[in-house]
Amino acid sequence: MVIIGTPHDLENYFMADGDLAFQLHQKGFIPKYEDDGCLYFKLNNKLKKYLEKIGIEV
Amino acid sequence: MKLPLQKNISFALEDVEEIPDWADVYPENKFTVAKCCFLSTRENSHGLEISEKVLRECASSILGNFLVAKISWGDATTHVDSESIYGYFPMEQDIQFVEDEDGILKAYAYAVISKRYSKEFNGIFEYQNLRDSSVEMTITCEDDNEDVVTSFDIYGLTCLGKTVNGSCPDADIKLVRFEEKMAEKYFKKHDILSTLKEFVEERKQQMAEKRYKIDKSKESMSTKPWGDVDKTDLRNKIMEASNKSELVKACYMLVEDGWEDAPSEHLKYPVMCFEGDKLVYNRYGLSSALAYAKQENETSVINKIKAIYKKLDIDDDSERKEEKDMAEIEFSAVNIGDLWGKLYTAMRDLRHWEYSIKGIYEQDNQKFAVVYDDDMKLYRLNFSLTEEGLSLSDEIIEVKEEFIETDNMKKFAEPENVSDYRKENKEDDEDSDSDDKDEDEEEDKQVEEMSISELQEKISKLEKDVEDRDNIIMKNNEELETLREFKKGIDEQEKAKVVNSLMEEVEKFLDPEMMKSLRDEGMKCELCDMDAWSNKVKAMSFSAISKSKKKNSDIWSFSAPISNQKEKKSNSVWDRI
Repeated sequence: MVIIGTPHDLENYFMADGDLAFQLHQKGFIPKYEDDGCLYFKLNNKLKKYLEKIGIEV
Repeated sequence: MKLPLQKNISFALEDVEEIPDWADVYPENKFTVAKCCFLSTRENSHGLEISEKVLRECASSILGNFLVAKISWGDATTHVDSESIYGYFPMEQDIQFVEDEDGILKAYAYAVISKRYSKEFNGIFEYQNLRDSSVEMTITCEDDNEDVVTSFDIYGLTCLGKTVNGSCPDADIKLVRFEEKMAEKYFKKHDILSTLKEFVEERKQQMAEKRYKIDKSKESMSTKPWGDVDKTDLRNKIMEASNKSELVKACYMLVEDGWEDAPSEHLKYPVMCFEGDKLVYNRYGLSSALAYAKQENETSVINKIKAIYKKLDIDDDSERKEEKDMAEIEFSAVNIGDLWGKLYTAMRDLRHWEYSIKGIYEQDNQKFAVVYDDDMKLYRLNFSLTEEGLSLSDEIIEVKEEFIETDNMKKFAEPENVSDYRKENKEDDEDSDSDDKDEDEEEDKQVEEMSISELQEKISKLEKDVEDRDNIIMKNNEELETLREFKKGIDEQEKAKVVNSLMEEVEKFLDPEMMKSLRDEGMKCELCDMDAWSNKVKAMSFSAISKSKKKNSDIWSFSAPISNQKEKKSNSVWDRI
């Protein structure tokens, strides 16, 4: 399930769309919010590490 | 977390789903039906707590909404803005709640999916009839606990790809009604391409079924001019008919093997034409065929046609006369001079004054002249030549290009007096002839009038003229000689200049003996050969330079070890000490 809208605590989420969003979802990071095509992923250590690995600075 | 591979299903009897009755309003040939578990009370990855009560209360919000997906590379992906609607959750149904052995309550709804417009979506289930799903919804939570959902409103259900999992572990989709064969049958029947193919097949069949009658009676015999009968169209019509074998035998007097593959080559001597849907004998077709058969000495054809004559009770004498009169005189039998003359006369008779004949041709037994007017524009004028005479076509057609002889287009030779039939040439010739004649007459007259003394005077005058002319020539010869001498001197100077200049340049590379030999050679050359000599000198100089460089390199190789030793100098302080 995905909640339509944006999280109120945006700083705790990583926003992605398009291929990156699909890539993160494939890697097991399930989006919690969806707004206008952008997916918001709960920013935890696992996600941070993965993002770092693929060269995305959070 | 479930793995997609674990969801592989086998179509065992127990998997057969009962389709709800309301689904009957969505015909099987148009719709597939998918059973979707869209939410459950099981713990989800977001940690949202959906109680049994909330689920039962709000699950029906999915009805009237859509089944969506973003399909890429043959599979669904995830929630993206470019998702497309593929299915719909009909309002007619009630949400099914199923409690499993763990006490988890699952909510199910059926979606109907168009077979025609959602082929892409249905296609992804062909390989594996199960996908995760994920609802898109708005939620309200408890004020003091955001993880406890108090209500939700579903906007749609997204079908996820095989490589992604939904938040709710139980949420999935599988097709429960999709009979491929039926759908294919339906689409085949209604597909535009199929319709066109069917149309083509039907037409082919209709064409193949087309039969023509043959009427061999004298009463039905056609008397329309044989030239007006389109022989190609006749052949095509016959070949398309279902009773073509019968038609061919009746229409063509000579039917060779392989006529079905190459009818134009193997069907000869047509004698019939179409009158509506009937194939009837043509009076002039018979005459023409007989005439040609006689020319070609085709006995079997002649006999056949004569038998037809007998059967139709056609007067043989009149036929013979007509045959003789009507038959087009063949190419080889035409008298060239006669042809040009007849054509020229016929053109004048029809007041075609403005045209001249450029050439006469024959194509497919049709003779025609290429004529031109004063503006040199070309025209084609058809005519026919029989024993009766030459008759011109009423029409003169302008043509853009001259005709070139081919296998089926022959050009008649031009007679010796061809200029007589060409307006301008004729006039020109006439003019020139008359001029010559006038001159001759005048001379004769003058000669007669001249006396002997006058003639002597004229001869002496002419002799003097000749002498003067010789003198002039002699004088010119002398002048020419002087000029040649002068030119030779200039050339020598020029040559010496070139030789000296070049020899100065190459002096340092060549030894004196070679220099002398080359200089002499250069001076003996003509001025026009100086370039070649110059190249030779330069080449020899280059050769001499190369040799000289080689010698230098030997010297350098001798000094090289000294420099190498320097390079190999050790960097070690101890070594240097």
